[in-house]
Amino acid sequence: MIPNRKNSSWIGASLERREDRRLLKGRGRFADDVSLPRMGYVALLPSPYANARIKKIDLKAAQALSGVYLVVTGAQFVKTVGPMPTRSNAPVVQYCIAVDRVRHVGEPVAAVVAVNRYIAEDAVELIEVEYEEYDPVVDPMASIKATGNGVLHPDVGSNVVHKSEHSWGPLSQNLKKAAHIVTENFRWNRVAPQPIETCAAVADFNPAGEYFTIWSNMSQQSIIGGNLAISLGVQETQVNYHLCDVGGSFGGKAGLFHVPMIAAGLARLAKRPVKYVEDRMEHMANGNQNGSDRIYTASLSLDSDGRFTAVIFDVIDDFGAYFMINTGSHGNSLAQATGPYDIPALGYNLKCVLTNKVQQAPYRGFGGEVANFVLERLVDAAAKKMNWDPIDLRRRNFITKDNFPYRIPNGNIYDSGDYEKVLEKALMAADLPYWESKKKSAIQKGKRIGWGISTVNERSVLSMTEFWFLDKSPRFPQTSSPESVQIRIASNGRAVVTIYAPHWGNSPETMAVQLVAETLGMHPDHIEVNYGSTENGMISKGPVGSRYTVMLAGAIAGACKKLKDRIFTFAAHMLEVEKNELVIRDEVVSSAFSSGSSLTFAEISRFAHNFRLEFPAGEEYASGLIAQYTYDHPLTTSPNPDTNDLGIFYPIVGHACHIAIVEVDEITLQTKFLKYVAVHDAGTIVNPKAVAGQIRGGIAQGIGTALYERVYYDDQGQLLTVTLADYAIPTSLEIPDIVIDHVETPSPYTEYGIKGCGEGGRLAAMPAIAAAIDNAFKDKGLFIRELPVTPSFLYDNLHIDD
Amino acid sequence: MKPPNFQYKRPFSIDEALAIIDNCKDLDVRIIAGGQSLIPMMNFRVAVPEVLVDLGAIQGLTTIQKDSDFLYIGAMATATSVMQSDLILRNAPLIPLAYEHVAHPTIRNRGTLGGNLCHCDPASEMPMVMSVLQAKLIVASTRGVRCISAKDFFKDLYTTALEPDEILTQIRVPFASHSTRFAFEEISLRKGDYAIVGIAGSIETKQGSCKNLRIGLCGVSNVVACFDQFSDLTQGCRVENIPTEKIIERVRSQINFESTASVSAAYRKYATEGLIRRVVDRLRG
Ligand SMILES: Cc1cc2nc3c(=O)[nH]c(=O)nc-3n(C[C@H](O)[C@H](O)[C@H](O)COP(=O)(O)OP(=O)(O)OC[C@H]3O[C@@H](n4cnc5c(N)ncnc54)[C@H](O)[C@@H]3O)c2cc1C
Repeated sequence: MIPNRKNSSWIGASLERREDRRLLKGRGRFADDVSLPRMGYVALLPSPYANARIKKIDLKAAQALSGVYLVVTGAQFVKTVGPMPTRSNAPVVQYCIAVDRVRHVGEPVAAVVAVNRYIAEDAVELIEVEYEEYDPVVDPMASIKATGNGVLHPDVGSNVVHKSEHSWGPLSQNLKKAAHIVTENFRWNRVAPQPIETCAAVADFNPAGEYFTIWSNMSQQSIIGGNLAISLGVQETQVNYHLCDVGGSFGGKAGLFHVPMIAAGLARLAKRPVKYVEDRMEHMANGNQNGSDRIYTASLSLDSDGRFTAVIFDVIDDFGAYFMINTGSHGNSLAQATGPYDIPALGYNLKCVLTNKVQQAPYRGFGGEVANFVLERLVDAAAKKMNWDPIDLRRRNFITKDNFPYRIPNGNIYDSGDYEKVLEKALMAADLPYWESKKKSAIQKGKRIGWGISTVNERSVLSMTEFWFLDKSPRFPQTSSPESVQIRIASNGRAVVTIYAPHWGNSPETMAVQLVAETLGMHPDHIEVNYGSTENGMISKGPVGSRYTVMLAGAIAGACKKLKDRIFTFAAHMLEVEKNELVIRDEVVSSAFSSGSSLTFAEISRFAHNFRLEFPAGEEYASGLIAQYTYDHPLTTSPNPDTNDLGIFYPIVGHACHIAIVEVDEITLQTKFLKYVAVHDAGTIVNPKAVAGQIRGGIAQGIGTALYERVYYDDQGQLLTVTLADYAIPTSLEIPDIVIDHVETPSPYTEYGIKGCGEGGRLAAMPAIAAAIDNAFKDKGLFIRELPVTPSFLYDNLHIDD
Repeated sequence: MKPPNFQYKRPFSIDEALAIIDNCKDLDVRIIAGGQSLIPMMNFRVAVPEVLVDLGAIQGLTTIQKDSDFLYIGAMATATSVMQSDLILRNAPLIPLAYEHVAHPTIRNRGTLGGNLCHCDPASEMPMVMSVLQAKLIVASTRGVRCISAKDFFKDLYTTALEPDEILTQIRVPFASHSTRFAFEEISLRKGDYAIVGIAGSIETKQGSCKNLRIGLCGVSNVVACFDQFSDLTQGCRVENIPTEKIIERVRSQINFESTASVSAAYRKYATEGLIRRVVDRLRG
């Protein structure tokens, strides 16, 4: 049930962020802030080659250096630390320190633990390695046909680690009947989130209990315990993992295993606590943090009325040297492959290939942003080809608001939406006629004005099936992705909420405070939030796939229901009324019928904690006020093994319309924003300021992807972008002020009707920006098929099209 | 990204600094000014000095003064102090104009003009600006003091005329006459990045006619570039009539444009032409 918002007093309020209290005072606690007695510091020797066999490693000089505690090769390390966790199928084996062979520049070859990082790096310089160089495999197309030493993992047999073809709905019929088919090629280049905080871990091993204690910014509770323990050769109950503040993840730290594993493995060998903090070069070359790297041929078919009848994606994805995430990012692309449009047929042909580059990991959007870009570009291509207005064409194909829940051809559903309303709001805010009227005078000043629009869906609340449903025989077909919470009312009547997901720079504490305030009728200042480590923890999937607030709301609703019942049990006895006539308002419990006596939370809790003999015997009056709850994904169904129905896997679907208005200088070809409008529908909004922050941040990264950022490898597999001077993340000077507005279509499936919004900015920005630049060069027939549109790229493309 | 061990010296006078350098003849001695280029190089272990001589405690190396002919800028004056100096704004306005494009405020607060020039990065603005302004650089060693003109100081990529035992102490910039016009244009990917192309221009005008056109370029080639052979094109010309296209052609013909990972040679050439046109148009008024 969706409550009437009028009665909600805390949901919808722009409360100040709880997290900011400590962060703005410099009191955050990050992994690097953890310091233990006798702690040693790690430095790693990176491979200088993209593809080589390790012939010989000489550690003697490094071991002899004063201040060095331990030096190990990968071959030595692997005796106590097994391969990294992977979802790949068949498994592509990856060690966190290379054994026998290196497969990308920057892959660690040996590790040093020393009294400080300076001496550790001195020791690294003294390690001597003999390599036998192989020809690097850099181009994904060449990789497909590679043989001999060009095959990265001889035991897998080929660099093509996944190949599958899928069609859903009446694909071939619709293509045959189509009045028009537009086909385009796209190249989606590698980008990376590059959070300010690199990956870091402090690990301690207690030989008495064979027990690891780890502090790290790697984030997914339910994965860590199990997977890390397997690699370390202990039981998951022998690892206690503490959450830290995280200086940005954007998805990358979700699948981060090598850093805590290296720290933990070395701590056990060195017999002392160990800290490993990546420097920026290591993070760039070995962080396992690069996003999708895809080559597309994609087609959209239309009937003579301009209605979309089918869409097909042919994709080759260059995953780099390993395949930790399996085809998860393609599952993600499939969640909303037909966008906000009513398209009855869908084709998806996928090849995943390996090359000598660092491997992929999730990055805000996790492939969904790529599919959105390609689909929106196809829509623009169709509009251009048929000379239709791109806005009308979108409108004509929107799923209308009375058609929800809507099933897309592959089986996923969209829960709710009102795309027309979002579009209307965005158009009002953008005022395109005004910008059209400015175009002419701008030209006289050597500037070209252009506008572009994207209307995209914003799938949220990830479940797990997308990681394996494209596999023929899934190795670990996991279907759980729960979230937990514990709420305790202390004897003073105040609430303490324990959560189990890390703070990634999002607002988990603020959300917990507002949701508990709302659900229990409490004042936010009377609610504290803390984090549980895995040792005392409950099961938690954490903040990926725009899911945390929705999942937390479900867990909090469940726990509050239990708590309320406990409070009413005690209060009914104390007030001598029936339990079911009690109501809570502002931490006061009273009867809905009889005016008169009432009790505060503090009074009830004081009795519940201290005066057992005031209450009757029996379980229900057991001392204390505490409740735990684990909330499972609200709506996932099993996929069919033959993939003709992928089931429901990403059903909570928001929507966004972005309109970018740009100005391009004719001489410099630099793109500047004149206006940027973003209207989102993320269902019921818990905290408008937090949602606006998510949208702005996502757009900033979207602008980075669209105009500035790219991970460059040369033809020898050497990484050219190893500093933040080479890898150009936009700064506040490049990001415009963004006009944000909302539509709220509550989800029928979630608590309070909340939808996720953590990735939305980056799911929508890139196609709008590309379209705006096209529009500025309409007379030249420009059509952007690749990003980033740097001035140089724009120049080269304008010439090609001439 | 941590440097190996080094000795650190912090002298209180130039003489003391020079004596330290003299005493360490067999060691790799490096001057450190603001450290904004040197520290990253040390962290990458590209520069591995055995002795660091920090000029930060030497009195008088940060002053900015003038007499009737020159501005005298201490080598340790920070970019920020140079940018904000009224004396410089009034007498060499090209300097603050160009500094707008150099790095970010936090870097400019520490980075020095002297360090910037000694680093001699061809993508850097100030070496090129000093060449256009025909500045003179005063360098000292235990062997004495030399005065080197900008065009002789900047030799090659990261290479100046400084001998290993010399310290740059002062930059002398001749006064701009009131009839001198300046212009500066730059393209960098992000604000504060090193230039993809940066162009400075200056021209002296006298009763309408003009002389001494100079065009400086940074970012486009491996050396600090300043072109001044335009007298046949500008001879007797009124400033508003100087032949833009011929000037562009002359500069372009002397540059070999090259591609890098993210910038094609073709774009660099196009943008260079476009920016020279803008600079010359500015100079024409
Ligand atoms: C993020 C970033 C962006 C930047 N962007 C730009 C930019 O857009 N344009 C630009 O021009 N620069 C840029 N820089 C570089 C900046 O201008 C540096 O500060 C400058 O190049 C060096 O000045 P410094 O005082 O820090 O010198 P240091 O780093 O201390 O020294 C640089 C070199 O000069 C030598 N040296 C220094 N002083 C003397 C002296 N008095 N006598 C002899 N040798 C000396 C040192 O030994 C060293 O080799 C950027 C730097 C950063 C970190």
